[in-house]
Amino acid sequence: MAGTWVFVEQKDGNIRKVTFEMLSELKKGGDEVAAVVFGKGVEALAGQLAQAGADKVYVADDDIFAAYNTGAFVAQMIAMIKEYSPNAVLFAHSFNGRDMASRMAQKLELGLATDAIAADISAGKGIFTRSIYAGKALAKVEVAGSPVLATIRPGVWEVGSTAGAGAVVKAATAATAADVYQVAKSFVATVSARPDLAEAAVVVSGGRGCKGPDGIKLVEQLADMLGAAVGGSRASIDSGWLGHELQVGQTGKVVLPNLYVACGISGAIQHLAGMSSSKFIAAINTDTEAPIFNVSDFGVVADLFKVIPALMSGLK
Amino acid sequence: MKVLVCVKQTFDTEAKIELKDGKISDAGINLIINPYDEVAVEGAIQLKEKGIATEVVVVTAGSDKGMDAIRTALAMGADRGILVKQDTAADEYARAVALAAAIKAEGADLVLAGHVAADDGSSQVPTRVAEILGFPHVNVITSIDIAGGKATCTSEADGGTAVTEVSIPAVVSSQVSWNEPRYPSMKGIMAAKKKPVATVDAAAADNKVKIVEFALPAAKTAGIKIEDDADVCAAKLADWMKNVVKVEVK
Amino acid sequence: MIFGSEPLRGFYEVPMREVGANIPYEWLIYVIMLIPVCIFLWGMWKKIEVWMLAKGESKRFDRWWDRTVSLIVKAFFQTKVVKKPLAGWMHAFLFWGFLLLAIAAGLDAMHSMIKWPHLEGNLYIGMSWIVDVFGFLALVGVLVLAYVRYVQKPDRLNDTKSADGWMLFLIFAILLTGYFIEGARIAAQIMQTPFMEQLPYEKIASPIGWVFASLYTSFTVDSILMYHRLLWWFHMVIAFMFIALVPYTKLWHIFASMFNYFFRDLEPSANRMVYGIEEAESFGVEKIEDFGWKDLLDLDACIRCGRCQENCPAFNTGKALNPKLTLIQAMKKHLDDKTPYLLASKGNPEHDAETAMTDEAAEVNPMEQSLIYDIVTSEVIWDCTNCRACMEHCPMYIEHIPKITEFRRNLVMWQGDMPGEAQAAFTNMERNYNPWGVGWAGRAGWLDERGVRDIVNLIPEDGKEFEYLLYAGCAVSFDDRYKRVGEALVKLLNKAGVSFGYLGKEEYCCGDSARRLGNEYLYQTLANQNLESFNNYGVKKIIVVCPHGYNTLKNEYPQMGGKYEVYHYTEILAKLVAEGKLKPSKSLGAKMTYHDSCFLGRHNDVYDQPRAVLRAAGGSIIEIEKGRNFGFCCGAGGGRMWLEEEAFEGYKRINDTRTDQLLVPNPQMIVTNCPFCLTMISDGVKGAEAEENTKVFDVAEVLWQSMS
Repeated sequence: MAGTWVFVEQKDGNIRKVTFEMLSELKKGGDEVAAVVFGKGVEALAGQLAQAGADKVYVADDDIFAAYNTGAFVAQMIAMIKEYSPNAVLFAHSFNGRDMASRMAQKLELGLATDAIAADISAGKGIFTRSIYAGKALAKVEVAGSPVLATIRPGVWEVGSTAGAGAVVKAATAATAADVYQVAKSFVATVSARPDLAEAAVVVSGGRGCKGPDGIKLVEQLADMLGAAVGGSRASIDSGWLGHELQVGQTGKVVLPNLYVACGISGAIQHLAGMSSSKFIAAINTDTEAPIFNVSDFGVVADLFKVIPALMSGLK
Repeated sequence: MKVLVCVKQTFDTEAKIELKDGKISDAGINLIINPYDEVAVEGAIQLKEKGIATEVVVVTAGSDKGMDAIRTALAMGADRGILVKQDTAADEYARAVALAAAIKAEGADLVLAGHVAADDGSSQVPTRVAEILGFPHVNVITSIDIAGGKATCTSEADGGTAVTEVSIPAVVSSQVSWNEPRYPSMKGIMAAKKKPVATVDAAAADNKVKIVEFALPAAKTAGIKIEDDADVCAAKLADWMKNVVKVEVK
Repeated sequence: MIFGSEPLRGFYEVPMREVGANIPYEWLIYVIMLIPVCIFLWGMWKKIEVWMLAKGESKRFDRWWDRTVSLIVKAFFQTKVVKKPLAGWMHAFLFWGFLLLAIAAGLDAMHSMIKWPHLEGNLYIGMSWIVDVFGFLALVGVLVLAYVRYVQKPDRLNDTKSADGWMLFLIFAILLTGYFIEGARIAAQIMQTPFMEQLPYEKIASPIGWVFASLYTSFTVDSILMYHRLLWWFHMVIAFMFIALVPYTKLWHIFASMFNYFFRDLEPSANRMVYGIEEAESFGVEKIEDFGWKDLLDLDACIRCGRCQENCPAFNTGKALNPKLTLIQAMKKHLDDKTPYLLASKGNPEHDAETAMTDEAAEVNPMEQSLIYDIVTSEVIWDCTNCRACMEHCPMYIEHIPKITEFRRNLVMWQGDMPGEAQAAFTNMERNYNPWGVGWAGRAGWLDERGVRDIVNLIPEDGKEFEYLLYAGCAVSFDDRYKRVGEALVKLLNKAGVSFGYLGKEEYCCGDSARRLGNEYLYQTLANQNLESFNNYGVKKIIVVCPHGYNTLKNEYPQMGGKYEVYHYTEILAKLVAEGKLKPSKSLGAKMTYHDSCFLGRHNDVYDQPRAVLRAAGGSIIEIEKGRNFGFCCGAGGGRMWLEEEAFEGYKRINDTRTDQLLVPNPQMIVTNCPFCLTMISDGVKGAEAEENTKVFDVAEVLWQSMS
């Protein structure tokens, strides 16, 4: 087969974890794995990509790729696909990834499997597993095409330690200014601030059991460790420990994170209405009868003031 | 400025999913407008209220049941509806082809849609439609400003907030935090009954993605509940978070 | 005699009083009387004209007999008025005094004008005594009422106007001058009596007058007779002023109250039905003239006593809603301002002159003011918890809640303007038939979760016969805390051998929250779904767990053809306990306070049965001041369970305020009978950090605890 390409997610020289996950997983198969990176001054990243398993690293280095824009990136990728005929091209299921993959798929009149959580790629086709209906069902789909296209959900694979040769192939810049139709006006990074509650993959919430700002501080520390958003039950907001915009529940926000950690929250129905659809729910509460334990996947009946610090040590 | 809004009818987000004959059963399921599309409809109506949009037309592709989605959008304040009759098993490619054909026939200055559908979670259709129409696109917007033939959109991009400018006509997909969709009042529902809805056949297109099989996820094992020393509990919880949930630790 | 008068004789052989004695031209009074009467009738016509502006419907012309009885009992016996002992009884005195004096004056007039025979002998003595004493009680009444308003100054009388004082003074003056006149008459009679023994009947017949007579001892007979005449005409003038002023002042309440007693709502507490909603062209009330005449009459009937305000949970926690001032009186003022314009726009030329702007009206045109947004305001409209304290305590039977509901209907169904949380609740009820929005497919999940599946006849699956339908409601199905109450109840019913069935997924939200928030359409949709389900399985009797569901099924479903025997579960448990079918095996011996929920209590008068159950379980109930029909709302009614409540500066939230009241006796338990109350009070107990010592339970749980 002509190799599986992984489009590299990087910004300012920082490669996102999902790229390493994808390279590592594909390395396990027998086919050639190549990393494809567009940017300015990105040839230097080849080493890291090889570490993660890339046999080849295709580099398109040009000013026009300094920041992501759909037009130029899609034009470039199509040109390279025509030149190098990969069997499959995989993207991360990220803002950039699905944006680029969808536009390109339509341009090539191909099918695309997005947000896949499992992949089985063979010559000319790929069978992908997708989580649908907010995780309530699974669909196995077959995408046949040249190349096979898919986007992969971050976090479903693990970073491995098998390295590849990482041979750099410099691709000619095929994209021109005429391909660009989006003008990037500004970009404000939110690295320092916590993610928005409604979009966060992990939410750590504090309730009455936090007893005050001290308990909430622990919640915040745990959240920062997990790159999570901070939320609160009605009690915390009422007591002024957390801002109004952080209230999770019937009269607050409804959140759908991958993991919801409820600290000192009893789980009264008004709160559950805001978070019960979370994929995983962990609860820490001293009351063994607290309703939150009826919905939690992992419940701990203990004092959060002791559990959270110990938990943070354990996660390191 | 004429605004077209693509809406999809999906299962109610609380619906219990069951399989029948290997397919997802829709027996007894309440159908709703995809919440993300609802936000797009609201966004379009607000543009009309500001005097920027002159007409809001909603288009949906699928079965006749899609009429409910159209009526809801009309009750919110859209002006006209178009139902593109298509097999509900159409994939993203075929769906995009059908929608784009209807939009092209209708003519649009701005095309809005939710950035993802609550049922399939694909996030492809708006971008595909843009490609077919040859329009620029911006995805996952939280706000939009239209002036001088340009749309300036704020998006929730990876790792930050991006402001992108494109020329109109364009396709823009909405994030759920853009606005709070209004509740269709009885007044709106009554007015909706008189608004015109056209039914057209879908432009022919084959599926590019084949369904191999549907399955239900393994039944959720009963939650673990431990009552022990704080340290013991914390260690077990950390374990679970790392190995089962697979959290990313900074 | 036309120009003279009967002289005032010292005594009469047969005890009696000559009407109009010593008053020359006494007959003139009946001519002059035409003036105030015409002014009165004109004023009354103006009132009727306003009621005729009402475009809405008020169907209150049924049950004539019941209405007549209602009027007679409530007006004559002042039953509602005296519920507030001091002011109430004083008003009763005032009322009876005035009534009897009016009757006496009427009899006098009848004698004067058409020669009805005098009252004589013992009949005269007896009747005169009654009138004299009650007239005096009226005098005492008006003085005490003035004391209450101006010295005691209760909060409920927080809008005292100068007119209030003038009316009191007028009444006082009329009564006082009356006694002065009587005193003068009797003094003159005494002085003209040869022998005192000839006048003793007068001492009995006019005991108060007799005392007043002693004021004249230093006067000559002639001067007394002159004062008698002067006072008499003066008294006539101010009494006629009173009559003329009635329709133009708060005195109108005399008639407005009678109309309200007659036309009051005789039905059990229910929201007003909207028939033919599918074809309706408008929803709720947007303009004041869109109300029915009864609602406009209510605005007249309000005498600003403030009992509604006193008991309103919103007002008492610092909110904008004040049933007296910001609802009824605000509406009344708006109606008064708008009436000239409305009448003018009916093309009535003589009213054009009235539309000449007053200074105030020149600033704002009432025709352009929005009743909902400018006059009452949305804040006030959404503040109401529908607890019914206002209607319960209003001595005029004013209907506050239906007006609020009409505003909400307009806001929700016509304008589409409602708090976002209300919208979410509606969407949840529409899609999943419960306000929490949890998937409807899991409605019967609590049976397995609480391990009671085998003792419950899940009708659609098991198909067994049943006597009662157990309408568990949304809370039992989806509120984790309340599932335990459902569990306790079915275990109790099972133990008592009650034959019951449960519809599970085929049970839908009763629709109360939707209706109370103004979404009548959604309510009717849900109700129809339930009615179809009930009729499908031949339901005849229903036991309801939640008081909101109970109120809706019992009082409101009949509006849509659903006629069943509906019981609240506490009524059934009380019956079972009394019949010995449920015998507690131990006495809990718990010190408890009991929270009367609004919908079981004030809306449906169920106060005793839950208490009986609690006592049977060995609970010792400490009755708090704000109990039974004075119960203070938990804050969740009227659909407010789903809305955010702001805590205002200087006040706690409604539920915290109520919890504080329930915690005063430091009870071991607080017992509730409603899922909303249980949630709100539990939150309140946590907020007060009293969970260690005080647990919150529902009645069923308490009884079950005593059985196990």
